[in-house]
Amino acid sequence: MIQGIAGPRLDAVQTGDLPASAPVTKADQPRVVISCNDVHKFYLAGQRSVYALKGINLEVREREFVSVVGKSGCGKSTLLHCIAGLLPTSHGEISINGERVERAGRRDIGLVFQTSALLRWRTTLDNVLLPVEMYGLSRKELEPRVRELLRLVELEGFENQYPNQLSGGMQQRAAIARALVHDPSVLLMDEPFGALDAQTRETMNLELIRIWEATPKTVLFVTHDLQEAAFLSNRVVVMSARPGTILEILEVPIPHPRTPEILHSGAFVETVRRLRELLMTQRDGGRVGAPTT
Amino acid sequence: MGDVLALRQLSVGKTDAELFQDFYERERTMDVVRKRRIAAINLVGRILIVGAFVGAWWLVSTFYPPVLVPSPSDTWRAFLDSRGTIWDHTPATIIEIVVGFLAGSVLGIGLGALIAQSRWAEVTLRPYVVISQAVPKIALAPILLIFFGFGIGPKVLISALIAFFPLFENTITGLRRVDPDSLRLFQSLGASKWQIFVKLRVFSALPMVFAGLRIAAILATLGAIVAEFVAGNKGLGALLVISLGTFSTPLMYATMTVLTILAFGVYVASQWLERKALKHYNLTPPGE
Repeated sequence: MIQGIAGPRLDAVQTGDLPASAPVTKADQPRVVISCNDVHKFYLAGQRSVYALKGINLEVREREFVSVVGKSGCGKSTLLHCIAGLLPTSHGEISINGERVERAGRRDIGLVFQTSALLRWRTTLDNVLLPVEMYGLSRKELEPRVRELLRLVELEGFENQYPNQLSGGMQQRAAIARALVHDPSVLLMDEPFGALDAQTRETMNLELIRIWEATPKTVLFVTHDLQEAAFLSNRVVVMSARPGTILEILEVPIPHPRTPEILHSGAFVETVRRLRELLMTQRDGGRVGAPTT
Repeated sequence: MGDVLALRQLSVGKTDAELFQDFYERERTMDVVRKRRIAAINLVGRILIVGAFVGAWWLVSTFYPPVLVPSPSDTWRAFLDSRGTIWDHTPATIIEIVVGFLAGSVLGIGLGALIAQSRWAEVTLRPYVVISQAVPKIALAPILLIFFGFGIGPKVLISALIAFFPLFENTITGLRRVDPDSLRLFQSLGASKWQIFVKLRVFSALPMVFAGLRIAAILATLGAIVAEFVAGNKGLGALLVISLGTFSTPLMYATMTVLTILAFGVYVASQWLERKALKHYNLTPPGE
């Protein structure tokens, strides 16, 4: 297991005691890590104002894997950017680890985007070390950790390759390593596999669940792929569009560790069906239950 | 089929990374072979085009007296006869081009960076910079020469002013056009404006800046020669005017040829620098 080096690790002992495969149940009630309290977000698109988020209330507990699904334009990425502090909220409060999010640049967050956002002019290793550099941490001290991380994301031996020499999946794995290098307690992922082909995507899901089971992180994962959401998450947040609101939060009743076999299990199929149903109810510009005759 | 077999044999007992490295090296060697073939074809093509051009020139020249259209051999003779004179006039032109190019580039990149980074600078300075560029600088040459005299200084100034603009525009565009996710990444890491500038923007801007440098190299040459046209007793532009005055058309042609070679040399040099620098940072020219 990866040892925390950078930044304070809260409740390290407690999380250490939790077996990696334990599903987070209500009875355990771990600490709330991400909390959104009545979050609203407006922005201007030319002359029109867009009501991107309306009254979002969400709590993500420690070591939980929560996905946010919804059609494109439902504000799921906006929500993630607000939580990361990249966008200011118009109303309401977001806090992480009990501390209010005011602006970007917190050390307890790791971010992964739809594009790998790897810098072309840096080798894979130098890309992964970017947070180390920005936070002024010791490169030398962290080297064993970086090596371990590269092994974890299966990029050992590719340290000196440039991003354009890596495949799409490898690039995203490097981006995940970069997000984990400063040992944040929260991992925010914005459709990280959205640009990959279906096959690679499936492999990446397996990789991610393996990485998550090996590192005690709280994950918020934005996606539009319902299978992906059901496979990875403890809970799935379903959003409706314009204004972006939370329709429902669904528990995924499947224990960890998650293997490809669960894709055929009744519980999985049922979860995906239920998610699809929820999204189908609001096809006409966000009006729930369009009248039919 | 043979390739696949060979690859399979090679692959025994190697790690993924080593295999990848092999593959990469192979691709690169194939690239080199392909590039050499293209280069050879290009060379033949170029020689043919130059040959055709000189041939056509020679053909046209047979219909006219040398004072109107001197033949290639007349030009070559004039070059040999006056090579001392041409040699005398060349250093001034080269200095004007090089200093003008460097000064214009530094100014263009500097002011471009300032405006790209500061909203205040953009609002207050940019309109004036653009207006200053709308002034036809070639027409400005006589005015500057009257004021600054007839030495090398005003010619450098005109050359620099003309070389300035492409760098100014390209630097602004290059520094501003960064990958939005990369920008978000830096923000999420708490990067300061300065850190974003030196660690992200500068590198993303390099291809655009070098494209600007290439254009500026040609424009600097143009600026220096025009300035010499207007007022000068030194430099290849001045020599053109002098040979016009004495109706030594073959000398004009010879000087023109030397100028073309000079401008081409400046372009090739900046292109070489561009390739070198971009390769060093694993970047590609814009549009590639």
